[in-house]
Amino acid sequence: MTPGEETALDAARLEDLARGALVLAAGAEHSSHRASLDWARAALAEHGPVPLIHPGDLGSGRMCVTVSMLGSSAALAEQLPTGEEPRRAVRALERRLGRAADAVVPLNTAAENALLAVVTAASCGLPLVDGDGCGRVLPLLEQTTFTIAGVDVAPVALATPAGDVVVVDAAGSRVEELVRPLVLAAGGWAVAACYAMDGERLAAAVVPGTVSRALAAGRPTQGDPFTLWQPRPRRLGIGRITAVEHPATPGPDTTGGTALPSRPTSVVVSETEGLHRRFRLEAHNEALLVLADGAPAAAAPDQILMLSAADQRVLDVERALPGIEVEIVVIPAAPAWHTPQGRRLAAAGGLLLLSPDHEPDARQMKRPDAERPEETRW
Amino acid sequence: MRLGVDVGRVTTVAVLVGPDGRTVARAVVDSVPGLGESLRAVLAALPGDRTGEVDAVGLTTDLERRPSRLRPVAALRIAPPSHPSLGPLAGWPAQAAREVGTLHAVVPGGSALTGRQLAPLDRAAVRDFAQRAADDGVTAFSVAAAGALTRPDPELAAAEIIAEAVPGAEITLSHELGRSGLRERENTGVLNAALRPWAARVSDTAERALRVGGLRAPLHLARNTGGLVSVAYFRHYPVLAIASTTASAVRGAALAAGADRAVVVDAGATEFRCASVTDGEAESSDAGPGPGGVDLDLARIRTDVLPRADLVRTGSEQVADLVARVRRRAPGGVLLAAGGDCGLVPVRAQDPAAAIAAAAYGAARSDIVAEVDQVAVAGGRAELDRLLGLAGDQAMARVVAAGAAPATARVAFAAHTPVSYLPEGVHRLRVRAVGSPSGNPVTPRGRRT
Amino acid sequence: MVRRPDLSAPMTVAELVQYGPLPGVRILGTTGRGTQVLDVRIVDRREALDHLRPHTAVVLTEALARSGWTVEIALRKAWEQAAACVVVPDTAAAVHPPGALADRLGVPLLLIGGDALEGAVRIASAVSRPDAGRTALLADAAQRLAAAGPHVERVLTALHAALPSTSLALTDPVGGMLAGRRAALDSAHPVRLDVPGPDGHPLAVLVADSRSGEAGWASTVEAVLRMAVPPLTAWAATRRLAEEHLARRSEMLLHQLTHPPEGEDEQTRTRIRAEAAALGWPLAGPLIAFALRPAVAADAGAAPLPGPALRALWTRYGIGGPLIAYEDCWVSWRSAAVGSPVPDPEVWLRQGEAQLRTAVRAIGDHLPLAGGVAGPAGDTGTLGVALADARAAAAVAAVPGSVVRADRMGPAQLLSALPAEALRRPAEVVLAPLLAADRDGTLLRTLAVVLDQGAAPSAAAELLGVHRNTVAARLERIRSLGFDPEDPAQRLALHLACRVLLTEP
Repeated sequence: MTPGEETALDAARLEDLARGALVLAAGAEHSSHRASLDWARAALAEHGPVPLIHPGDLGSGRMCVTVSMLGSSAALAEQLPTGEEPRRAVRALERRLGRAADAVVPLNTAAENALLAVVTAASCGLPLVDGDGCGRVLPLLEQTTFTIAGVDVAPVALATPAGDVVVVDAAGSRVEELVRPLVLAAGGWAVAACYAMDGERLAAAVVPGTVSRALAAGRPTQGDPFTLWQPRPRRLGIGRITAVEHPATPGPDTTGGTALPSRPTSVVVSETEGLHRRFRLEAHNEALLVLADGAPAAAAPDQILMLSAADQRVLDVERALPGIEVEIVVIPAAPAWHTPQGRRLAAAGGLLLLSPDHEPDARQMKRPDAERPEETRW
Repeated sequence: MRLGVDVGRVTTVAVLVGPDGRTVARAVVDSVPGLGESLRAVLAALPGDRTGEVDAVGLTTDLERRPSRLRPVAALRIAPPSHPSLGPLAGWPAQAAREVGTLHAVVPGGSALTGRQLAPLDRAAVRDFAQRAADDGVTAFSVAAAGALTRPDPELAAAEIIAEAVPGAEITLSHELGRSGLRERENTGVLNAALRPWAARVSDTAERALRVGGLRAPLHLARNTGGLVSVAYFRHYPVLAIASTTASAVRGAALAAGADRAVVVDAGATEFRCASVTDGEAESSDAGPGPGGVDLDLARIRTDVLPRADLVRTGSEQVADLVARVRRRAPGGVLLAAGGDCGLVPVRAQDPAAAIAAAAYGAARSDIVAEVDQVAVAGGRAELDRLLGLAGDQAMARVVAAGAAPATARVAFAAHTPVSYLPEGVHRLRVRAVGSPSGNPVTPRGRRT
Repeated sequence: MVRRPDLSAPMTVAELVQYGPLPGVRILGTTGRGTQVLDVRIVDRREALDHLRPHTAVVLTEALARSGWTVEIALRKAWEQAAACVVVPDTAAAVHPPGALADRLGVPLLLIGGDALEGAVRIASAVSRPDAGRTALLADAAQRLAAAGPHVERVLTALHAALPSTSLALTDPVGGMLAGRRAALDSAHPVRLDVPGPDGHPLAVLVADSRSGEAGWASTVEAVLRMAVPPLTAWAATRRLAEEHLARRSEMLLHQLTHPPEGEDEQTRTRIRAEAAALGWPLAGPLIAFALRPAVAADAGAAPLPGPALRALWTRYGIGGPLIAYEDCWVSWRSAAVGSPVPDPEVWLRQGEAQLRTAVRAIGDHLPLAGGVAGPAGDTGTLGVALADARAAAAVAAVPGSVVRADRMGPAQLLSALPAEALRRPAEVVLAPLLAADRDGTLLRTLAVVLDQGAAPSAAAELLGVHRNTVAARLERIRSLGFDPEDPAQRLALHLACRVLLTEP
């Protein structure tokens, strides 16, 4: 969509968004995604369509708040939302800041978070911003382009399905540590409202167009889900998962920093065509690094996805099992992530497994079979 | 020797399979409306008189062949309150919802995925609900608690209360069937409770027809993903075996060809169904609506479908496209045909008589299969291993209850995957146990189920 | 693949594993094991992987090796920079160490027991003095071989002790197993070394399974095997010398025994008899003499009699008694009275003939022989004559497996001893007119029988089963073709020709 244009996110577009938001959702839980979708359908039915606005259209005098689900979507699938969580979180943040929100921004446009933003906007009667704070999915709350641009994550208002509301006001780097135990105590998930900022800062900090991108990807007639992605994703190869390992102890890169939720997982994929390379994905909730025959082929902050070769849907690392046929796809991150500050932030909690000067560059590397291309571009 | 029978929409096929996997005898008759009549006809048509040597019978199922009315079910959810759009039976298609009825309740209790108790079980509310159901004349109960895969205790406690309040109540517990996700697990349980009369009817009819045909061997039903369960187990958990013809056909074709990897086109009366087999197992899928359009989280075979009605003049190209799509998931597998009219399937030199018997053959060759899905909260590797071991024991107990000879029961698959965005130690466990059908059927010691 | 053992060459990855400076080492990856190791680098930071020198053994610290992906990166970096191998502590290795990647890149991955630093030091020491390991191994092998002496079994035991992970075998030149472990013969990467006999001809082959198939290790194995060649050759020489010595002494002794010189004194005779008795020779008469000769075509050339082999066969299947080379054949004898209470020469000879026939047939599976029997000789003084008769009888026993008694050696035996194959063509020429007229061979058979019967038609008629007049008529026909059985000038030639042509080829 172009600046100034206003689109209404109605029931039909909601279905597109739900489908398209799965592209980036490596951790999506089908059950919680369906629950979120039913919830969003009900919210739109109750409150009417949500206006979708361009980030630049908000302006300096108006405030937006960012919403996100924190914790485990599998937990949400067991302890279902009451429906009050998003509004309670936004209201608590508004109370803390002493001013009303004018728009809702998704923290990321992936799986439940995209739908949760719609629910929040609908139930608060606010427009939804076409853009988000990641352009992809990152595990920690402060890992956003907003942080890179200097916007504070705090204060953070949390609303749990048990009806608790907690406002955390702390330095950005401490928020994660404080919030995780709260979320765990609440049963595994909560809704957070955070990153309050005015329209001008938003326009400078946001990754724009992510909601339209997801809408396009979810349109039923769309064959290639990445039509609107710029730059286009890279296709590393197709292979079969041959091993899934859980290292007994975290490696040196993940100790010391902010402890990431969950634990590291390695997925070994043997390429079934072309060069028959051995891919190794290092995942810690998200895939952080992919090696092709031991050479880094892609690394966070670029997003590494395993698409089930069968249906082009994202395969959650949790569901990676030996035998599954997958395609490894890399979606380049928004430019902000490739700045030194962006890389440092992405590296928090071990997201980057290679030091910043180790930018992988396939062209400079010697290949086992130099005759053939390392990858084909879509 | 084992007998496999597939009652299809057009033909009914029976095969006798020797211990070496070779087909000893085969019969094909036209299907008639009644299951019993079809069975009797095909048994009568079986050449040679070797039914006395049969030591197990495998029968495929197809709920949609004669859609059964769902019976009213009292659906109890044990969980904190949730958004109305996410309540019990919310989002069910109108027809199915009407049949199952409006008797449902949410009572406080249950736990989070991590095992943390969300609220103590409101026993009085459970008792009230059970009483209300009894007053309405409903005896089929489904109980689903939040976090039941981690902590099944609330479901067990509720079952005791219901059994006490309503003598003769038939109770389905969600943690015995479904998987992660309260709503889908609950739906699976409700559907299971609603389908038991159908299962009883199928079982009674089939057993009677077998006896008339002179067969004394125990009856087994083929599961949705392949494998068998005893008729007694099927009566308790019918939802596991509501549509097994395609899975049986796909696995049967691969077994007959001795192929570990295959792509099988099952040419049915109304559609071509194409599925892949890897390491002898048909590819499964677990999302999406089940019978009556209800969202389930139940393993079933994954197929790509080409309705015969969509065929144009160059039908063989469409079939080739269908095969190519599935090939992407299972490269390298041989292409096999199963079913009645395989003319359009680009397979050469395959015995059409064997193709039409693939589903029956698959049912005859299958072993008893049972699965356990749990969420484990383990402090360390040792505890995780212990919990995996316990889950394995449970799967073994389940497969024996499902009709496996205890000496042959073994764990065929066990996997654990950590749950994202939770602290270390929260794992999904999945264990599959298999065993050979036992000569003497074991009746599950039903407490509540 | 066999490289000259060059003891100052750098150590290869395979050698590093085989020599055992690294206790409990496992190697993954089947390719690249022949790469030389010149240097060791301990890596505790991933960045250090960017600057590796070629032929370096890259040792990852436990902390670094614990993340499997770092090991993969290390393999990759090692490959890019031509490092020799990657070494990680076993304790840090993942459940599925990337052996497939090591294979694919040709960079072996070594899993070592114990600490990375300790491993690095051991590798450094082995690499800095590549000879040390090899020298120690060779010295150990030399010591063991010296202790073993020239005995084939002991030599192989010593080799197995020196090369504990290697199977060895000694085979004959065409691969038949002589000693050692059969597993060595099935090796995918065998090391072979010829063991020459004392005469320089190939005597045997030493085969070792070098396991890894890497040049470095194979050459070391070969160097060890080479040290085993002298004792094995010595063993062969000793054995052969003893054999030959015994054979020559026996011949001389037999000659002295059977050909006592004129005026031989009693003392000499006693000494010779004592010596013969010491060898176990039968000396008490009467004596039955035996002769054996190879039943091969005369034109096959003077193939040397396989002495030791025949002696071994004679010991196994023979009648007992010595077996001594005697002119162009082998002779033996025994006391006639042994096992025969009846003092009847005919019985003795029949027994001897039967025994020898059994022996000749049994040995015939290995070596075609014919035999002769003669005697009895009253004592050793006439043994020489009996042996000569037996030899003559053996000479006419042309068919392999046949035995002829010297006293039964008639014209028929003589005739049948003729080399029929060689004479067939001349016989056909001689009898050509007869053969041309004789469609069914009747004339030839009639002529042969008449000649056998001394030209007596009536006896011939009886043998042929026809009337006497028929024989007379046939003879008339034969004479008309130019052959007269009563002509002394033709008679012998005709008789020979008939016999040759009637002998089945």
